[in-house]
Amino acid sequence: MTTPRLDVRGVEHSYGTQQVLRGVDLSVEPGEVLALMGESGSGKTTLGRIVAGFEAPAAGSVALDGEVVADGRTFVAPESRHVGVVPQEGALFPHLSVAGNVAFGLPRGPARSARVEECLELVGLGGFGERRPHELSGGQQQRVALARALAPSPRLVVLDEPFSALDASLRAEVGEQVAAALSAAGATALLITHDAGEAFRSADRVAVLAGGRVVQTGRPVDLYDRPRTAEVAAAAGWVLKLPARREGGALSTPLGPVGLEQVGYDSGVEQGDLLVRPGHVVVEPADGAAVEVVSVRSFTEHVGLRVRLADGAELVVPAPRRSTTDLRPGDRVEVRLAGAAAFLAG
Amino acid sequence: MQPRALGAPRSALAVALGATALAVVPLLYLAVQAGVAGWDRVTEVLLSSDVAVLALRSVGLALVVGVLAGAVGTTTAWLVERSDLPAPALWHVLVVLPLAVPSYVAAYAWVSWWPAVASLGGAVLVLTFTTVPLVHLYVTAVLRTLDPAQDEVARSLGKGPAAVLVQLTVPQVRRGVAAGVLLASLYVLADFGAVAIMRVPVFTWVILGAYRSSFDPSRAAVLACALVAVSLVFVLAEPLVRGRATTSRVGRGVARSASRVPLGRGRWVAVAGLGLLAAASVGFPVVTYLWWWSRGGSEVDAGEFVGALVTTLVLGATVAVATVVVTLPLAWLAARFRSVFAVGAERAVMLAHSLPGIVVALSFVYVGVRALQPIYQRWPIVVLAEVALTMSLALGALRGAFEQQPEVLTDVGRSTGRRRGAVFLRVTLPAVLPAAAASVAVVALTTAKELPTLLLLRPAGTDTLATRLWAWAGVSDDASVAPYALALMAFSVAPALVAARWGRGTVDRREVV
Repeated sequence: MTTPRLDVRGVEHSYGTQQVLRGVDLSVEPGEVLALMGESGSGKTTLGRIVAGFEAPAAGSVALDGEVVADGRTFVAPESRHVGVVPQEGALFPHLSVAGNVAFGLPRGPARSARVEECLELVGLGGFGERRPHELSGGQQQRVALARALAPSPRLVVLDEPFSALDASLRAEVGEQVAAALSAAGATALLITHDAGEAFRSADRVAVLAGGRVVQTGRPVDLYDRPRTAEVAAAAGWVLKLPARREGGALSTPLGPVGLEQVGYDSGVEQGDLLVRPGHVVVEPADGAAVEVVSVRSFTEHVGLRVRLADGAELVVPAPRRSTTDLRPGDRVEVRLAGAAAFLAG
Repeated sequence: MQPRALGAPRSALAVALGATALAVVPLLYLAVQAGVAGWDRVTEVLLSSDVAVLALRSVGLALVVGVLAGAVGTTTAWLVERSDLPAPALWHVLVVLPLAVPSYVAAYAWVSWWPAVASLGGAVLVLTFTTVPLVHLYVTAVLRTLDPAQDEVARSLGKGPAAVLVQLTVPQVRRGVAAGVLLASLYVLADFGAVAIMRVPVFTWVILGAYRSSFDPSRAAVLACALVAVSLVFVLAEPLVRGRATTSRVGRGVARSASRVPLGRGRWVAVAGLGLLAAASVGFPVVTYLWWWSRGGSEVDAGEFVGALVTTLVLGATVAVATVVVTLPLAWLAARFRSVFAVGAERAVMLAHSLPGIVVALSFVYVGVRALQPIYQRWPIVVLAEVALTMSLALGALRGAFEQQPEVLTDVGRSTGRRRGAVFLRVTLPAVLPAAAASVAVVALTTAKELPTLLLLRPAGTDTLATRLWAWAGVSDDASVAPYALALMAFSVAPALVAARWGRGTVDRREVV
């Protein structure tokens, strides 16, 4: 097994009496982009600052390539860690040109300007070297900030909400550009974000921080198919929460039984919530069926089907688009579950 | 062409025009007075060798003090903002507190112990103490605009704290420091009280002497014009040096406070240095006057003191209210209608304000003699001159308040069917009342300390705290100077604390004298 590029073990941190990190474990492999996802206030920015060396952890350790850079005894200054950062607002040095910014961390020498241009090319800003930071758009500034962080070939780049200051329309585009630049540079990165879309688009793996701990780490598809918590499930995409009870090898729900082998993650509780993705729902028109369609709402990727069950209860069911296009209010349908993402304590 | 109903109302334009005239007309009179003597006389005065020496001495003093204050003020600002100095908030207040000591009060404190201090060196000493807070506030403001994330990024790129200071902080505050030095120099050029007590013949003091001693008013006027010219060089150089905003951030995220550089053992050297500075610039005058006061022997009786106090308060209140009332329409026009007139009027008021008080006072003397004979050397002309001097103080604050109010509020107000005047009174005005009240306070306190205007224009036989102090200082009666000095310092503590708390480098030099 290779040594992880970044290895965080049991890190705790408090601001005054408020403990924000309660024993965080996290590792990032060389060449990997790991998204650290969490609500605002979950401590994800604090963790990023601890990794970069701007704060010292109250407990636990941080190691880079197996070398401990922070624990109870050791503290390596940020300038000696070779960890680049891209802060939320870019924080370009306003008194330096774009090239001056990118060159800031490079040693003087003949190779300097070539490396600057190379890094600017990498983020799609070749030829922008003479511009001043205030002449750039927000997205361009963020890309320069990334080029500046990548220039000295750091061991790790920490990107702290790098797109949150951008307009929503720009966010996806700049996110793609940044992900492309990171992979072209072969860089290892810790991308801190509160936005699931951003995390899923840009990262190889996603770690979810909640309650001061990492509650789940995995590939985006793992988080979608096998979420460990309701928060992770909701962050990863639309989910329907159904009451369910364990009965033998299956779960009984208001929409009928689901085989346990079809459930992505089973927490083992007897009774709780079953989390269902749109792809798990099968809807078939059937005259005389007990379930009645109340309304059909069309979303971009699926539809929200409001149905009235036999017992009169109403429920909005996510469903695949193709099987529902012809449904009208008043139609009778059969609804079945072909699986579920997770079965969790309610 | 914009419809009349959307343009600036005529009434506001009229008042603003009056305010502008108040700022500009006296200067025209000054120029006329100088010109009346004829070109030959002007060149004769200007080309005499003593004027060259005078100019050299004035500018030299201004630059030396500016550079000293720049060095000290920048150091204190960095210590307070960016080092791990203990109790930085307390030191910040202590460094700014000399704003509460009028320059002539500080100067006389030194001379009262050691008459030999009255020299060019003494003036450098006292004026440096007086101007350090200006530079300190200015540089502090610049340091606060720097994004601490920049420092962190630099650290992550392999730069240690010293490299961050040299490569990031210094280049970004350099222009701010230079602008602060110019402001301090401009303050010194305009200062009258300290140089007079230190008996240093620079423009301000010599102008007063020329006006007093000869029946040749043209010499004073010509010298005043020369001082205006020299001051303008500094006024115009300041924005050039400051340059376009060199600090900028993308977006508006929450600014973390900057990390502080550990000083190690230097911490206690810093504390000792700051303590010495505070002791010399604030502690020393306060203790001196308390000492003279406690020794007794003051010839100031209660009647004299109370009379001066009442005059000061009444004059201060009158000037303050008049200033704010006259300035409000101009501030509103400048904030809402960026018309050529509004911008020009604002610039004119600001320019008049950057002129030395002695020049403005002198110009009102000429206006009084030529055009306003009925009120010459009576209170109304004193009020007019003080309003001209203090308008810019109120203008900045009021304009800022108007700008902060969303324009949509007045639009909504008008769309309800209310007339413009009613909307202004009921929607626009209430929002700026706090700023107006603050301006009234600042102007009143500024007027209380003001010296040249009162020396030249006050009605015979009436006095304010400052002029009484001046009279007693003239006969070196320390015990009698003390109560007035203490009263003036007590008056000025509040604005100094306000400057320390909210000063964003825009502290006005006239708030100090």
